[in-house]
Amino acid sequence: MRGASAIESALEQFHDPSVRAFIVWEPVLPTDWATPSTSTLSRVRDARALQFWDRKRALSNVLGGPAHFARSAPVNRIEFHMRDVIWDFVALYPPGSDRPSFTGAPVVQVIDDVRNELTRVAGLISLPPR
Amino acid sequence: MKPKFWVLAIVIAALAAGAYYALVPGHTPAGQPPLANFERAAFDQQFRAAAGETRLLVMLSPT
Repeated sequence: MRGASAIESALEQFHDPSVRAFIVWEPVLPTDWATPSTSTLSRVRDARALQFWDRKRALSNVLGGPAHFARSAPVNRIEFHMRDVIWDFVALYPPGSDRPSFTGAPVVQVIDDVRNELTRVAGLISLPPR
Repeated sequence: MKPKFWVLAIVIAALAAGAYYALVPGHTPAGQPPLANFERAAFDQQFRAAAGETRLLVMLSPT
């Protein structure tokens, strides 16, 4: 949950409309038996976000799982062992690229790297954190 | 009424509340599309449609 708030804080600093955030919620923990609540979804309130519920964790499988995909970017900071599903994870895709330039996890620990990569890739002007 | 009735009623109410909580999706914030069930084809289409933009892909547990 802190990861979602961290992403929201990063988005707040980058006002450029040409940033899009795909937020994919998936059941990983034993407590993840329900669809995300309104409270959960409100953690990412930026209008540039699209939110999905991936009950079967299909995206993780499509991407090839933690061993294959999570470390595929030129710069990756995967700081914990994900076992069999990609989660608490962020990837940044530059415009026009189908490969991420950065991957990292857990989100809250790599959020400064995400900000730096957004600045580098998008060439956006960063506002000071609130 | 018999206590048995009330126990049964409470159990049914709890199950109904649990089912509602589990199955009815929450609402996304204003300005966002509604929460979508992940379907690969639709997701790929949306992701590719935004290829001209900087995209963040974030995968999270809801709890």
